[in-house]
Amino acid sequence: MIYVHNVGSVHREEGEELDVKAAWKMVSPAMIRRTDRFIQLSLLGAYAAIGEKELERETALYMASGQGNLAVFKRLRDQRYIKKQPPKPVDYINSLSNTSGFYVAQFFKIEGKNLNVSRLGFVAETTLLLAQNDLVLNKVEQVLVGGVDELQEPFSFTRKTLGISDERPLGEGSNWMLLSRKKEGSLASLEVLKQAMGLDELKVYLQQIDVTSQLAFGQRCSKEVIEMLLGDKKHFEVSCGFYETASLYLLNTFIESGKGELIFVDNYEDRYRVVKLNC
Amino acid sequence: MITILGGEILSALGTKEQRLKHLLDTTYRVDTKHMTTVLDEDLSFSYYSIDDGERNSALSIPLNYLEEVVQKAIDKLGLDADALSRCGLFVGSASNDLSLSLPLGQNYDNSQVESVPCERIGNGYYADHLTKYFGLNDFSLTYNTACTSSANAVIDAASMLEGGLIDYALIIGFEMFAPISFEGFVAMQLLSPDKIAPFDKHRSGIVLGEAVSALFMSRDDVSPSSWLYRGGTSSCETHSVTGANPDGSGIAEVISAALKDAGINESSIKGVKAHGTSSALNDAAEINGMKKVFTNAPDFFSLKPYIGHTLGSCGASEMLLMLECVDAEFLPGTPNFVNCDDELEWMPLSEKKICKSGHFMLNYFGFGGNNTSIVIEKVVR
Repeated sequence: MIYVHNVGSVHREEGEELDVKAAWKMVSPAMIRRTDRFIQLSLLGAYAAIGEKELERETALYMASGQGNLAVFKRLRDQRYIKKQPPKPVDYINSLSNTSGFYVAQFFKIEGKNLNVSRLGFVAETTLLLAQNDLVLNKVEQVLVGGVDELQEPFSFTRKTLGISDERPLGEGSNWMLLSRKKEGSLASLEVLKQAMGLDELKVYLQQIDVTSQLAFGQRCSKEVIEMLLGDKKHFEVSCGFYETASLYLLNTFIESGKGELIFVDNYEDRYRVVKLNC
Repeated sequence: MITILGGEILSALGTKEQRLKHLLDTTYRVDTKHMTTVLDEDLSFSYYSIDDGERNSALSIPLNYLEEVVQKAIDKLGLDADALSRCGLFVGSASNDLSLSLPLGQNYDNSQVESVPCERIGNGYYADHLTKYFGLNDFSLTYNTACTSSANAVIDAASMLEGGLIDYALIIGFEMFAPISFEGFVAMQLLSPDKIAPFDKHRSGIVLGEAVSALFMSRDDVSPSSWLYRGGTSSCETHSVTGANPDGSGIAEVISAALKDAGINESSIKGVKAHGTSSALNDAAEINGMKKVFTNAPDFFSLKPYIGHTLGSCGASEMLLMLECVDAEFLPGTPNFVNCDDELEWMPLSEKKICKSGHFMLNYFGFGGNNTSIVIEKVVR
């Protein structure tokens, strides 16, 4: 079993404004010059979770993203094809995905393992599974897990590359949690089921859960599947525009506001993954 | 115990016979890459392209290479469908968003959005494809930690095998020619105009290369092997986003931690595959780091003069080359090393040296402060 000690989120819906640069400038004006919005969004979310708390130097950092820092790719593309300019070194460096993790590590003065991982679906759940495994095996003492996705225009392009319908509202977020093996002082316990499952297997699993457990669903779960699986269970819902790492937003929201057990089910194509929270 | 089963690699060195000959003879083949920059400036740099006969790798779709190299590795190791269904996938590449680059490039004036199909693409696209194509286990992750990407993938694969979540692991390291990445290195003035000469007094910078590799790992209760993964660590040195601290402190720390994780001391190391990029500061940082840990200079070498700096691919690609060398009972020399750098003092192997077994260290360092060190062992049974 692993435990959640801190959570924090920065989240925005399509149509809302979020001046990330101004917000981060309030925290650390010295870290503005070489960082771009995606990196600042990463920093802001991690700060929402950790604040001024001093982390152990060996703390690991596993950062997940569904689409990565697309804005810097667009800048590099525009520099090359439209402005006919060579890439700016700072943009090239920032295009390397782990640059965000570097700045988060630098801000919190942590020098443990620092990963940047991605996946088409289940990116948050798989990153949590990796963290859970490393914690259980004593490979790391604590892990700062983050999921960051930035809202990108044109929205129609973003929807297409995410494989979602034109009507689906988008969002963005930087959602972080600090995980460790220590139970004392924790906000919740967390367990990621080790294997993905098919729908029939999932139905059998859900029949065995406690009657008081609440159910929550990932953004790729269809309405039909949710209705079928929900039964008479209480549905924990969070309104949220689509982005790949929004699962962490939902989990953080439950930890901050909920009580009891949450069974979170996410879906990608015909497979399902389950995360259990107990607050 | 975690086992390393072997695999396959596509690189500038060609077929297994060709690459063993090059590694035995301390020779290599390198191309010249001509580029017209966005400023209409013609530049020529050495570049290690995949030696693949008729195909032009720069224009090929990475999926062709990935499928080919994985299939060859599967055939070589005789893995069946059941084994593959229990195999997790760990892809390491610094080429972030290759699958998105194309639609992004096609839409630079935002006028062609309609032509983009509604299909989930982006990071993880290649892993997703390979999982379906080869019937692998659901677990996959794509690592993007610059030059340590596939080395970190190896460490996490070992961890997931140890945790029993999977019985086999497939680690992919891939890096193909990417104009923006190439121009990024040009802009940072990191490329050598001619050759890569790690640790040499007159080293003049990096030469990039492309490589696609597939490395399988397992556990000894599932699939024994004479190669064992003994330990490894990864850390983030926050000294600078572009390189390790030249005093070697960060590198010494990760090397020491890897030895501790492997449960051995430095005197047990038979050879070190250095990161050896041929950049002035990085090579100095690496030697300074080793000096803080090793009492005497170990036998060390760089594989980058053979296949170039293959960025995110080098973790898996250089490990595979090293396995092949020791299986053929030698440690390779470091081509182009001629003059000892008085400030470094320590010199890499300049010629092959007989070596049949023992513990070996593989070091990888990257942008974003990422330092990774792995210890493996060849056991003579």
